[in-house]
Amino acid sequence: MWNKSAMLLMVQVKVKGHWGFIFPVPLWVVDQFFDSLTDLAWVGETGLKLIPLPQEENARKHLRFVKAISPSGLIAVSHSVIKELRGHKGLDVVDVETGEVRVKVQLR
Amino acid sequence: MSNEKMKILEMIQEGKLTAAEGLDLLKAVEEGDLKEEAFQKAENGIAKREIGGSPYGDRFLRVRVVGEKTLKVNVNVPFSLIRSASKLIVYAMSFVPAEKRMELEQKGLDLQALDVEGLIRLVEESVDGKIVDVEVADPAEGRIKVEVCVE
Repeated sequence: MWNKSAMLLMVQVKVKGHWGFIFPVPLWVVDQFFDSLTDLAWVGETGLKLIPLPQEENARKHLRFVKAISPSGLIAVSHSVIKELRGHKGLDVVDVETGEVRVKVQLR
Repeated sequence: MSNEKMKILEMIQEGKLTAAEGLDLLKAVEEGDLKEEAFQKAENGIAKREIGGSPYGDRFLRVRVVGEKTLKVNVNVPFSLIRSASKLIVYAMSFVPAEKRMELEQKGLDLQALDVEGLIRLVEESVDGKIVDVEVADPAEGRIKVEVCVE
């Protein structure tokens, strides 16, 4: 796990003549996070399926909606977006300059 | 079931072909005009897609906004990323409550029939160059040029 080549999403914010910061987001950490979250969501979903529907109509409606959602699916799709990002090393995703502020998002 | 059909179904299952591409190939098999070269063509497309993420190479959606004074926006999004994100849009649309979906349907917008992935594929395959090229005058910024293009 630790010898993976680190690819970073660099978020750079700069205010002319004042201050600026660079926030590096290691993509493999996000990758691992989504991996764990998918498993956790799957456990939650499985547990949720075992809860019986309540008698009260409103609560019943809400629980039915929650049961219909698949968080693990949502996480898996978000995970695939992150995986896709990892394949674009060196890309300047966003570069915005307005007056004094400059925001840059790069993949390194 | 013939070998060709099985092979096509396996390719769809493995995600090497999209459902639409598979359907086209299946139709060709049924009509009896699927030649070896058609299969070769499909497999070449897959090979290119596996290497470069798309049979059309690594294409980008670029948004550029340039103002006369200080405004400068440059956004580059690879199509492969848009394709992945489109699944998120399709997924998000399933969260729209049934009654709201009905309301939209009555207004003529059927969310379930909206093929976001197909639309993105279509843009990727058929559009090359500028989609939007607008120039506006802003009292504070002067002339602002907005460009959206596929490259």
